[in-house]
Amino acid sequence: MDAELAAQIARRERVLARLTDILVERLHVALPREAIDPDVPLFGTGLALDSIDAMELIVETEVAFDIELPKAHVRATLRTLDALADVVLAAQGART
Amino acid sequence: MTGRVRTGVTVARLEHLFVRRTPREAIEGLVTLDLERLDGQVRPALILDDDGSVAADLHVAGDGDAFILIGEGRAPEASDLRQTHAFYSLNGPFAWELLARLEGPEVLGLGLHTHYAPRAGWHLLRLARTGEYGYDLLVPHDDAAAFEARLRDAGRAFDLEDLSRDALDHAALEDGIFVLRREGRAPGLTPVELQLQWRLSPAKPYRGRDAVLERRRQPRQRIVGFRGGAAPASPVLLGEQPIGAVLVAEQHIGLALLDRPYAHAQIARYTAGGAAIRTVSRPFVENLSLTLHPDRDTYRPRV
Repeated sequence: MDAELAAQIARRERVLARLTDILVERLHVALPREAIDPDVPLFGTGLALDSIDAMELIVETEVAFDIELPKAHVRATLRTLDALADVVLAAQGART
Repeated sequence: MTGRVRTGVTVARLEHLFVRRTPREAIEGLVTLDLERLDGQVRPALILDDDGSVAADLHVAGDGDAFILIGEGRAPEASDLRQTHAFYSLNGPFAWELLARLEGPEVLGLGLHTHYAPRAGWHLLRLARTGEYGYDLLVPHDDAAAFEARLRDAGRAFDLEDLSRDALDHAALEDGIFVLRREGRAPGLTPVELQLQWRLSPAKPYRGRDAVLERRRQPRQRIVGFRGGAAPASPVLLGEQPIGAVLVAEQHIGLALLDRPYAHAQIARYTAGGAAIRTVSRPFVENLSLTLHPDRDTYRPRV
């Protein structure tokens, strides 16, 4: 694996790890940390977060990464932990 | 391929699924789901083999002192509800509207994973087999002919379409929904590789739990979605280095099983079968259902 790909993957892993921290420590998701897969659905099925959880997740993510996330259509756009990581990484990339 | 399942309403009989009713003690040590407080609910679960691989992919609904199981794979020994009931699965962004025409406006209030008995002997389960609104109905055989006639009659206003199994499976692929007879059949895959750990109870014992925990301690591979024109079973390469293989490929989307260090979304450096692929976060589609409001939207504009 070359350095560029390694760096890209490392950035993503850091974001996923921090988002997992938020899910476990702030939203009290009842799964062990290592059982929260990137593709886990956040709403409806999967972690089955509700609307209040959704808003808390948004706020905690914004604070953790110092970014602003779209508030509209949260359940339609932030379907999985990976999708949320995409948005975070895009916001970080736009800032740099 | 998916047609009206993304724009209207479809109906399917899903003959490949088992539909069983069983007492708790028959499944307690098998299903990966906590069976407490399932009255009025239906939840996705798995049954694993001792090595942690998936033996059955199912939904479990509380039904009084027993449980209804609807799924695919190796069914537990239990009463076959298809002997007494006809099975219908309605799926599509306007499935709620058709169902309300048939069963009354009460169904509009049913949340995802609700199990509701609209009348004696009937079972209505709100699921999401395609990522759109979805409802499985178990209708006693004595009522089935009349129900189907009403369904087809009311369905005309919705351009109701029969959904083939291939179309259902593709819709599931588009939405990141597990299909046992497809990605689940690859040998040696547990919920760890399949990214299905959310279906495992964190505390209760079930067959295969030890194998899953062992695999969780040393994960080696993971399924990832991709876009690209790869062929099924193609090796996935980074340059000339093999890093995995394509498990599923249909209409320029698919699933690859990649070595763990490489198994991440948003990487455009891999190839499979000579074609460039880009790993992506699932689902692959935007579901119309997530933007609809039953109190204001309708399949046909009101005149």
